[in-house]
Amino acid sequence: MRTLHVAALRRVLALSLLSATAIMSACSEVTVPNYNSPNVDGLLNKPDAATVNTTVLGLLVGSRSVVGTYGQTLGIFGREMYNLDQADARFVLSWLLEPLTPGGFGVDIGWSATYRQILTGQTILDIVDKVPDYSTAQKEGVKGFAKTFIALAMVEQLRVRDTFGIVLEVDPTAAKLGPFVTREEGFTRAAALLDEAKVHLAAAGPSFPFALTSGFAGFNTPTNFLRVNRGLKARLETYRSRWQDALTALGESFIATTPATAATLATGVYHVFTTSSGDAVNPMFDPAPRQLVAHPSFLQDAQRRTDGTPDLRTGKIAVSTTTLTSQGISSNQRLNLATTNVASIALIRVEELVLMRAEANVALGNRGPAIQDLNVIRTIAGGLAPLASDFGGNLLDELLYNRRYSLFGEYGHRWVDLRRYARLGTLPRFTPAHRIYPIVPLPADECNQRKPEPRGCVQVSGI
Amino acid sequence: MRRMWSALLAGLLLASGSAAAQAPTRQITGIVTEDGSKAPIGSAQIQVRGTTTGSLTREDGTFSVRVPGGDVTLIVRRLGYPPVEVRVLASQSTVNIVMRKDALKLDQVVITGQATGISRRNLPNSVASISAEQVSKVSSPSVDQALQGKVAGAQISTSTGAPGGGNRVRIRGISSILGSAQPLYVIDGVIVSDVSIGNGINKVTRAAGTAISAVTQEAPVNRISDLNPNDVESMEVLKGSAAAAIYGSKASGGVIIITTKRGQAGKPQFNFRSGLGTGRLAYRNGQRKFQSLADATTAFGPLASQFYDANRFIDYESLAYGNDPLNREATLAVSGGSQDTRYFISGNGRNEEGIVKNTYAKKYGVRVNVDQRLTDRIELQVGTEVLRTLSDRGLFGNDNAGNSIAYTLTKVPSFLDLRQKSDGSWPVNPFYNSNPLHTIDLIKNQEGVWRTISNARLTWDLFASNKQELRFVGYGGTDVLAQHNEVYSPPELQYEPLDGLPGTTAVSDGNNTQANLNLNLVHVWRPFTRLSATSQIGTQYERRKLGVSRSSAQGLLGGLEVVTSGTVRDIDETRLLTEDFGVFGQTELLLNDRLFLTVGARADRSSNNGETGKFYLFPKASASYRLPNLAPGLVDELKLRVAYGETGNQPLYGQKFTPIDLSNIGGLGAFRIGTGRGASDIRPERQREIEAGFDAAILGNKGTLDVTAFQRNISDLLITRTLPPTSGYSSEVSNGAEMKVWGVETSLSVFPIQQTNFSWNTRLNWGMNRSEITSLPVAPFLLGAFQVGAVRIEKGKSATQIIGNDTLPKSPRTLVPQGVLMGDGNPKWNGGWGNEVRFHRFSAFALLDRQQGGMLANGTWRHYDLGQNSRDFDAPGPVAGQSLGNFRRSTYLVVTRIYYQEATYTKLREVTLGYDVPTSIVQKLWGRAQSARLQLSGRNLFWWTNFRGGDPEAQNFGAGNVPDAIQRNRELAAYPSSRTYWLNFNVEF
Repeated sequence: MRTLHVAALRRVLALSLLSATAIMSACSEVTVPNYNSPNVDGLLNKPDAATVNTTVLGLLVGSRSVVGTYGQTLGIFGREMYNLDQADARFVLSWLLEPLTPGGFGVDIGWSATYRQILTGQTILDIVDKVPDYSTAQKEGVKGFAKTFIALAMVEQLRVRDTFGIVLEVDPTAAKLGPFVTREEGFTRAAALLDEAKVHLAAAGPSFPFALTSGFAGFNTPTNFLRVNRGLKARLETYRSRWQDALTALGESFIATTPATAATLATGVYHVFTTSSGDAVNPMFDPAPRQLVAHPSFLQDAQRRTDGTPDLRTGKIAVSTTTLTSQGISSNQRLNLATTNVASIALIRVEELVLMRAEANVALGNRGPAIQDLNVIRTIAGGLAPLASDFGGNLLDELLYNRRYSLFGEYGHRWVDLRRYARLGTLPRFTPAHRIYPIVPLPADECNQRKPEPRGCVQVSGI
Repeated sequence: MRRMWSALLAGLLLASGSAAAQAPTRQITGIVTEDGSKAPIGSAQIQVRGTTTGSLTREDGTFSVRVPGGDVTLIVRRLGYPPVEVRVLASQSTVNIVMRKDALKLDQVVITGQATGISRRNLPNSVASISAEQVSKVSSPSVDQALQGKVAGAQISTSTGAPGGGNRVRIRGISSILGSAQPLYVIDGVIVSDVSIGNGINKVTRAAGTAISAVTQEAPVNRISDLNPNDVESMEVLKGSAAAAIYGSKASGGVIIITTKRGQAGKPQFNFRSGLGTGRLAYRNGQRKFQSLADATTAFGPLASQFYDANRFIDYESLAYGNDPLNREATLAVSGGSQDTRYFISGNGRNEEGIVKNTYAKKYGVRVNVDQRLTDRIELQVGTEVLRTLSDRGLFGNDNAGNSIAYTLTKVPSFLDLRQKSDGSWPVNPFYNSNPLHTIDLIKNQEGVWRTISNARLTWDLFASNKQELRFVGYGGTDVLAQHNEVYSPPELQYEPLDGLPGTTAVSDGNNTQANLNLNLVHVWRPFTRLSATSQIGTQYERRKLGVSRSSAQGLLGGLEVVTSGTVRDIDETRLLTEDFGVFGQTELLLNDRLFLTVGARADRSSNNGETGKFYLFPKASASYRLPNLAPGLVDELKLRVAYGETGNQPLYGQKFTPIDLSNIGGLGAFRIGTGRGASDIRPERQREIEAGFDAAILGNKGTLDVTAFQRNISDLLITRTLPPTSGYSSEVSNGAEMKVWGVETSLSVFPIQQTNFSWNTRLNWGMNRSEITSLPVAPFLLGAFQVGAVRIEKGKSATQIIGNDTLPKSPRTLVPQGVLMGDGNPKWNGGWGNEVRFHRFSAFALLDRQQGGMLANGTWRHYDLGQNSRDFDAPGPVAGQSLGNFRRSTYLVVTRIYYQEATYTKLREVTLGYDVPTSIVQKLWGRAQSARLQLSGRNLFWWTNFRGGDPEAQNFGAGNVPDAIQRNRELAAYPSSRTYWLNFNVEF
C-alpha cells in the first residue's frame, strides 16, 4: 500500500517538474513589434535626419494626393468636366442634381487629407530642432519647406470652403479641437506661414538636407524654392484681392516671359507620378474614357484662331470612339490633359504667374501691362491673335477666358475664379434641375463631433 | 443546509483515511444489449467503480473483466446511451446489462473545463449540442453552414452564394464593435483558424481603391469551411461567457467545440457515402421591358437606337446564372482496432460547381485519428487532417471599374444582344464597360488551400483510489494553412484596356500557422457516494502567425498571367504575430447528483495588449439544481441553473501602434503620419454575463424544454471612433465604451411517437437579443455615411441602429441634418423548426429557418434602378408624371430608406427523404454489406421573403472575422444564391 503511494507521489513530482519547466518557458513576456510600418512614437521620441528627410517627402505625397480630387470635383462644379462613371451614378446625382449635404457623397474634397498633411507638417516642425544630425541651416531648410506646404494645404481648402472658414490647428488627441476661423483669418495665417517660410529659406544655406523629386528640377535649392514660395504667396494674395502684395510677391517669384515660349510658360514645380509599387499614377489620365469627359462648352466657347481653328488649348480634350452615358448625360469628348499615366501635374507654373500678374494689373487699372501679359498667354498658349495694345474691350472677360483655358482641369480654377467675380450664375446647366454650388459644406465627420456645429454644417442647395 | 455542511465535513475526514484493502481478483463475463431491439452493443466501456480497470465489449456485445473479490459495481458507458451502473455480488460471475438509447441526449458529456466535462443532466449553462447526424443530414459546403437553423441564439448567415461559402456566425448578438465577432473554433483541443484572407480581386474591381486586395469587399471564404463536416462526431456551441470563460480572452464571440469521430475496437467497419447533386438560381431580379425606342434612348443615350429591337427580350439572369452544375461527393471512412489501439480513417472528396459557368469549389481531405493505450495508466490520442480546397468564385460584389458580373447585369438592357457570336467573338457592350457573359467566360479568380490540422492528447492517470483520482491531461496541436490566390483578367475583356493597361493579374500567398498547448492536472475526489469534487489547474499557450504577400501586374505583355509580364507592377506584404498565455483553475462540486457548483478563473496575457506582461483575470461561477420526478408525465425532471462568467476580447494585432504610412514618390521613399491613431494602453474587452434558465424533461421523458435568459455587460469595449478630420487622424482605437446585450433563448425537442416502425420528433429553437450602448466616453460617431445608411454609436441606443437621410415632412428636399432612424441591423429574432418522421424504412426531415427583421440595404435593386433597368421601372410612381423607377432613383439620396428593407425571411433550409434498403436486398447484391441507405435531399429549396434584390442573407461589406462586426447591413451584387439538390447513397460494410 505504502509503495503504491510512493510510486504515485514520484509520478506527481516528475510531472510537476515537467509542467513547471513548460510553464516557466511559456511565462516569459512576449513583446511583438509592429512588423508592417514604423510607429509615430519612434518618430517623436528619436528623430534622426534620415527619418525626418523621408517625412518631408511625405508632404509631397500628401500634396499630390489631393490633386485629382480638386481637379475633378471642383472641375465638375465649375462645368469643366463631367464624371460619367457608369458604375457609380453619384458623380452625377450628388454633384449636379442634389443639394450638397455634410452626410452626402463626396463633400470631403480634400478636408481629411489637408489635416493629415498639416499634422505631418506640424510633426516635422515639432521635432526638427531635436534632430541631432541636422546643421542649423538644414533645420531652417526643413522648416521653410514644411511651412510652405502647410500654407499651401490651407489655401487649397479655403478655395473649397470659402466663407465657411477652416481650422488652423490640428489636435491629434481630438480632446480640444482647433476652432474654426473665418476665411480672412485663414488667409492671414497662411500668409504668415509663407512669410515665415521665406525667412527660414533665406537662412537655409545652399542646399536642402533632403532630396527632391524630378518635379522640382530647377527649384530644389532653398534659394530657388523661395521663388516658388513667393509664387504661392502671390496666389494667396490674388485670392484675397491684395493686388499690390500679389505684384510684390510675383516680383520675387520665378515669373518670366522671355523668351516667350511654351517651355517658359511650363516652367514650374510639378507633382510626378510613376508606376512603381507604392507610388501613384496621374489621376487625370483616363484614356478610354472610363469616367472623365469634358463639358461640351469647353469646345463650344473656344475663341478661333486666324485660320478658323479653335484655340490651341482645346487640345486638352480629344474625341473618343467611346461614348459615356450616365443618368441622361452623354459625351465622347475625353480629357487629354495627361498623355500617359505618369505625366506630371503642375503645382504652380509660369503660365499661372503671368495670368496672376495680368489679373492684378487689370484690377489696378494698369491696362497696358495687363494686355502685354495676356498676349503672351494668348499667342503662346492659345495660338490666338494678340489683343491690340489699345484693346478697349472688357479685360476681365479676357482674363477669365484665358485662366479658364490655360488652367483647364487643374485644381478647379474656373469654379474658384467665377465665385471670386460673382459669375457662377453664368455656368451652363445640362437641364434646369442641375445645380451650381458656390461653396461646399463640411463633411459629417467634422460636424458630428463639434458642439455647436460649425457654420459649414449645412445643406448647400446651390443656385 | 446544516446536513449538507456536515456531510461535506464527513467527506473531508473520510478522504484522509487510507484506501480499502485489496482482495484477490475474479472474472466476470456478460453481454450488453439495447433495450427493446435486444441488439448487442459493441464497444461499450466497462469500468469497475473505484478502480481504473475495465474493458470493452466485443462486437457481439459480450465482455469479460477482472474485478476485485467481493461486491463490485460496474459502470457501463457507450456514446448515445446514458451510463448504467450494475451491482455485481461477490457470488455472481455473469451479468446481463441492458442500455436504453438516449434520444434526448441528457447524458451526453459536455466540456466544462480545459480537461473536464460534465453530464448534460447537471450542466449549469446553456450549451447547444449538434450531433454528427444533424451536421451531415444534407450535404453542406461547411460546418458553420450546417449549423444554420439548429442553434437557438446563433445567427448564421451566408454572405455569398458562391461555391465554397463564406459565412458569418454571431452567437448571442453582437459582442464587439471593433474586435473579432466570430466564435472561437476548437477541434479536438486545437484552436483552429477561421481567418478570411482576401483573394485580390479588388485589383480588378477597384471596389476599395487601388490596393491589390480589400478583404471586406471580396466576399472571402472564412477558412473554417475547409473542414469536412462528415468527420464531425459532435459540435457544442458554448454561447455565453459563463460557459466560455475557460477560453478567457478569446471567447467573447462564443466557442464552437468540434469533436471528430474516433475509432471503435473491433473489425474494420467501413462507411461509404456518395452523392450527386445540382443547383438552380434561387431568386430572379427580372429586367425592364423597354416599351419604346424613346424609353431606350432616355436610359441609354442616342446610341440605343442602333441596338433597340422592340421584339427582343433577352433574359440575362438565365444566361449568366444558368449553368447546370454537376456536384459530386464521396466519403469513405473506416474505423476499428483493438482494445489498446483504435483508429478512424476517413477520406473525402467534394466537387461543387456553381450556377455561374467556370465557378466551383472542390474539397479533398484525409483524417486519421488513432487512440493508443500506452500503459494501463497512459492513453495517447492523436489525430491529423490534411485538407485541400480549390475554388473559383468569379467576379462579384461591389465594383468601381464596371466589371462585376452581378453589378453589370443591372446595367444591361434586355434588348441588347451580348451573346457570343457564331465566329466565337463577343459583342462589345456599347452602354457599359463590360460584357458580363464574356467576363464569365474568361475571368479567373482561383484559390487553393493546403491545410494540416494535427492534435495530440495524453491522459496519464497518476493516481487512483476509491476516493481520489489524479490525472494529467496534456493536449495541443497545430493548424497550418497556406492559401494561394490567382486572379487573372485577360487583356481582351472589354473593361481591361480602359485604363491604358490591358490585362490584370494578382497573385497572393497567405500563410497562417497557429499552435496551442494545454497542460492540466485534474483531481477527482469522491469522499462518499453522494459527493464528488473535480478540480483542475492548467495552462494554455497559443501562438498565431499570419503573413500575406501579394503581387499584381497590369498591362500584361503577351497577355501572360505571370506577374513579371506586367508593365505596371505592385507588391505588398503584411505580417501578424500574436502570442498568448493563460492560466486556468476551477473546481466543480456535485452533491447527491442534484446540486452542481462550479467556481473557476482564468488569467490571460497577450502580446496584442498594450501591457504585454499584465494578466487579466476572468472569473466564473455557476450552479444548477436538479429536481427529479417533479410532476411525472408532465415535468419529469426540472433543472434550475444560474451562471456568471467573464470573458474577454483581445485587441487585434497592431491596434496599439500609431503607424506611419510608407509610400514612394518618383523613386524616393516617403513617410506620412497614418490615418488611424492607435492606443498604447489597449487592453481586452471585458464581457460579464449572467445567464439563468431551466431545463426540463417533459411529457414522460419524451421531450426537453430549455429556456435561458442572459444579460451581458461589455466594458472596455474596443471602439474605432471616427475622429473629426481636423484632429489630423480619421479614426482612433480605444477602450472605453460600454454596451449591454440581453436576450432570451429557448429550445424544445419532443419525441411524441417512438415506436419501432414509426417515430416522429420535432425540434424548435428560438432566440432574440437586443443591445444598448450604456456608456460612451466620446461623442456619438458614425460608421458609414447617411446617404447609404450608417450605424451611429450613441449612448442609450442600440449598437446596430441604422440612420439615414430623410427629408423634412413639409419642405421637400430639405434634409434632416442629423439623419433619421430607419431601423436596426440586428434581427428581432431567429428561429428554427425541424421535423423528422420515420415510417418503417422511410424517413423524412424538414428544417425551416426564420429571421424576423434586421434592416438591410438593397444595393442590387438600387443599381437596377440607377441603370433604369428594373422590372417595375415604368410603373406609376407616387409623384404624378414620374415613373416609379425614376422616383426611386432620383429620391434615394435624400430618402435613404427607399432601398432599405427588412431582411425577414423563412427558408426551407434542409429537406431529406430517406430509404433504408432492406438488409436482405443489400446482402444479395453484395455479401459484405451490412446496411445501405438512399437519400434525396435539398438545401434552401424554398424561401419566403419580401426582400427584393437577392438573398436577404447576403452582405457585401465585411466578412468573417473582419472587424466590422456591426456593419452587416449592405447587400450589393453578391454571387446569387442557389437551391441545391442531392441524391445520396450510403453503405456500411
